[in-house]
Amino acid sequence: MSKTIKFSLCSVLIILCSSFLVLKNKTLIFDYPEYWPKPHYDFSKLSMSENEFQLGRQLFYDPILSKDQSISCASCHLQATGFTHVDHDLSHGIEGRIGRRNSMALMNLAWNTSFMWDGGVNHIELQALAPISSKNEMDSSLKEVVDKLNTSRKYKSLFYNSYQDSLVTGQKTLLALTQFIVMLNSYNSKYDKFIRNEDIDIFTQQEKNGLIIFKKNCASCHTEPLFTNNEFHNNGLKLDPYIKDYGRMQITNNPEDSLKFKVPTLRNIQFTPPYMHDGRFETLKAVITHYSSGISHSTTLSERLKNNLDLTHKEKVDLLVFLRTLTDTDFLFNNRFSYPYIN
Amino acid sequence: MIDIFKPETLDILLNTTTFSNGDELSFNLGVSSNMNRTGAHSGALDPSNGMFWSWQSGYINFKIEGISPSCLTRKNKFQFHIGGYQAPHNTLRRITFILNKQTTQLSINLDGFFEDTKLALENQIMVPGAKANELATKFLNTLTIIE
Ligand code: HEC
Ligand code: HEC
Repeated sequence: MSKTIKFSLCSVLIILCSSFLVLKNKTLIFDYPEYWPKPHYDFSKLSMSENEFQLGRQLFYDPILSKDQSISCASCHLQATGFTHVDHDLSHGIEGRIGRRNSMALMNLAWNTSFMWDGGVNHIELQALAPISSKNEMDSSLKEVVDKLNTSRKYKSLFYNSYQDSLVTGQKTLLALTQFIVMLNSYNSKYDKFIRNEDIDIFTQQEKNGLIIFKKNCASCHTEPLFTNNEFHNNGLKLDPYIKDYGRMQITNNPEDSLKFKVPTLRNIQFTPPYMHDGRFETLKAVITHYSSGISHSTTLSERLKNNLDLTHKEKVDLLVFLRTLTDTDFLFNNRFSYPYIN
Repeated sequence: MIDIFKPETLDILLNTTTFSNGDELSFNLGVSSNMNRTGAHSGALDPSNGMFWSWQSGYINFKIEGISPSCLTRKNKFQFHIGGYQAPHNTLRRITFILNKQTTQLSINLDGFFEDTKLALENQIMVPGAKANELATKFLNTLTIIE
C-alpha cells in the first residue's frame, strides 16, 4: 500500500524493549492514508502492543462487563454491520431494557474530538464507562468490572502480559478497550481506491455524479475524508415527543444547542441502518428523501439546510449509489477485529 | 482522595516539611481541567473510584450524601455530586491558608455547608453548572485551620 504511512509509538517502545519478556510482543502499526489529517487522539498512554490489543479485543467481546454477564460491547456493536446494531432503532441492554438512542458505528475513532450523539464523552479512553454504568445498557460499574476481572485467572494473566502487572485497575481496563477500538480503521472502500487513483475505472459515471452531488450538498458537514467535521448540527429532524431528546443541549445547557447532534461518519453507511440518533429511518432512500424534502424547520436548524435541496429523482439515485461506494469490506471482514476464539 | 468513612485517608501528614510563621499552605480542592480532558488516569484519579461521571465526562470533585427529614425525596435522601471543569462553571477551588504555628490541622466542619442550604428545596445536584459552582464556593466555608 504505497499511499499509507505508518505511525507507531517509539517512546513507549524504548521501555518495552529493555525487557525480554515482551520481545514476543509484536508492535502494533497504526495505519492510515498519508493525505488524511493527523489523528486527534494522543496515543501516549497505550503500549501499542499486540498483547494489549488482544486483551482489549477479549474485553470487547466478553459479557463479563455487564451486571448479569449477558451483554458485551459487541452485542450493540457488531463488526459485520460497521460495529453498530442493525435490528433495533433504540439499543437494547440487559434484561431487554431499551435505551434512548440508536447505537453508533465504530470506526476511525482516533479522529473523533468527542463521543456519543451529544458529545458528552470527551475522550475515547472514557467512552466505555458510559455503557458499563448505564442502567439500560450493562448496568454495572467500572469498580464491579475491575473486581470481577481481578478474580479471573484468564484476565490476570492477560493483564500481566500487557502491563507486566497482574493487578487489574480501572485505568488499565479502559486503556485496553481503547487499544482495541482505536485500531478499527476503515479506509479501503471503493471511494478510497478512486480517490487514490488505484484503479482509474473503478467509479461509474453514476457514482461520479453522486460524488459531485454529495460534495455540493452534504460534504460541508460530512466532510471528507472522514465524512464528519466533528461538529454538532440540527439536520432538520422533528423532535420525537416520546423520547424528547434535545441532544447537545443536555450537555451544554445552551438553548442554541437544542436538537443538535454529532455529525456521524458515513463510511460503511450501507450496512449501518437504521439511521439517525433514534434510528428513525430504515433506509438510505428515506434519509435522502428527508434531506431533499422532509426538513423540519426550527430555530436551531443549520443554515446549510434551510432551503430544500429539491434533488431530482435521478440525482437522488446517483447520491444513493455514491453512498454505497463508502463500503469497506476489508474492514467489515477483517479477522483481527472479529470474535476472538482463543483458549 | 479523602473519604470521611476511611480514617486512613484523613491523615495526610506533611511532617517532613518545616513551616515558619507566615508560610502559606495551598492546595486544590478538585481535579484540574487538564486532567478532566486527558482520558483515563490512575491512582486517586482512576475512574473506578466512583468519582467520575460516565455520560458526561468529568470528575466529581466532592460528594456529600445523606438523609434529612426535610427532604421530600425518596427515602429522604440528599445527594450533592459537585464537579464540572468548563468555564464559566469550573468548580475547582484553590485554597490557601497562612500558617502561624509549627503544628496545624485542617478541619472540615460540614455545618458551614449546610448553614444556608435549604435541603427542602435543594437536595439533588448531580450535574455541572451554575448551581454546582455555587455549592463549590459554599464548601469553602467548611475548611478552617486549627492551631
Ligand atoms: C446496550 C447497547 C450498547 C452497549 C452494550 C455498548 N454500546 Fe457503545 N454505544 C451505544 C449507543 C446507544 C451509543 C450512542 C450513545 C449516545 O449517544 O447516548 C454508543 C456509542 C459508543 C461510542 C461512541 C462512538 C462515537 O463515534 O461517538 C463508542 C466508542 C462505543 N459506543 C463503544 C462501546 C464499548 C467499548 C462498549 C463496551 C464497553 C460499548 N460501546 C457497549 C450502545 C451500546
Ligand atoms: C448541517 C449539517 C449536515 C448536512 C449538510 C448533512 N448532514 Fe447528514 N447528518 C447531520 C447530522 C447532525 C446527523 C445526525 C443527526 C441525528 O441523528 O440527529 C446526520 C446524519 C446523517 C445520516 C445518518 C447516519 C447514521 O449513522 O445514522 C446520513 C445517512 C446522512 N446524514 C446523510 C447525509 C446526506 C446524504 C447529506 C446530503 C444530502 C447530508 N447528510 C447532509 C448533519 C448534516
